[in-house]
Amino acid sequence: MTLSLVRVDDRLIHGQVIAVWLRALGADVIVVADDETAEDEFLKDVLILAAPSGVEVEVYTVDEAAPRITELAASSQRTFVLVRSPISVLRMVEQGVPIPLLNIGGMGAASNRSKLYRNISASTSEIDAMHALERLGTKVEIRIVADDSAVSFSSVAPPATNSNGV
Amino acid sequence: MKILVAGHGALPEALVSSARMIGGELPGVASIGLFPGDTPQDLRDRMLQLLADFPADLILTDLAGGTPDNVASLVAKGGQVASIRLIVAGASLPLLLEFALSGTGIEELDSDDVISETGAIVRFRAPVD
Repeated sequence: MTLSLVRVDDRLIHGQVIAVWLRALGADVIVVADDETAEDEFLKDVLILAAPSGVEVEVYTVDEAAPRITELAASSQRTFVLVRSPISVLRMVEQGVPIPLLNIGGMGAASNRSKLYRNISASTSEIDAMHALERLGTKVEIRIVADDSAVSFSSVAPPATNSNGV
Repeated sequence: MKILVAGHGALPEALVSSARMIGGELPGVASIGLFPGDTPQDLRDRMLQLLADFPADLILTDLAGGTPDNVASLVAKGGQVASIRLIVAGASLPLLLEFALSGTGIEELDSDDVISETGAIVRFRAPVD
């Protein structure tokens, strides 16, 4: 079974993910792959509380998450993967995690990010990471809620700058 | 009884302000909102600051499992705020008024009764043709 959803979302587990995506696709396990969250007990507890009962939440650093997600992708468990940046996804794909489709759902404005599409913003290194993902065979699409039609990254992307060598 | 209403965006402040239209000044009621761009830690820090001056017995949150509800639960479980006796998710005008106007302490109230008596009710249903 492939992963049900691999999503970039600044807010990781929150109402939109639970009310919209979980309802639409269903999940047995949500893996949060985020270095900062994995090292902060309070944040970790907030995320675990945010998931409805019956859904397991596992929080790892990105590097710890890679082998676990590969294992889940081969299992019968319906799995959501949530990360904060496409750079983390690229790191996982480079470690062999099978991610055929990446959902870009929440990348808010920040000082190092500029607008990519509607309320989705990305930094130059995030743009480069998404280009690299597409070259490696991961389809990158922007879709905030399940009812939106998917907008392919390639149709809105500025060219790669290779600013960070990815 | 001191009550803190915690929720998403402007809802807590508006709920309290609307409750005051009906129930008067309600000095024992305060509110705190989570706004876009706030992290859970931001909300926790503001909540702890507020609770230091306003030792709430009861926190009403707007949505079970939402960030304000989760942060309030963690703050209560963390034991840093000794005043908190109860957290109830699903804040509404009738629920807030029932608690705020009870005139007694939280310990003297049967909170399960208050909750069940202030739930949503159907007031009209169009006849089936």
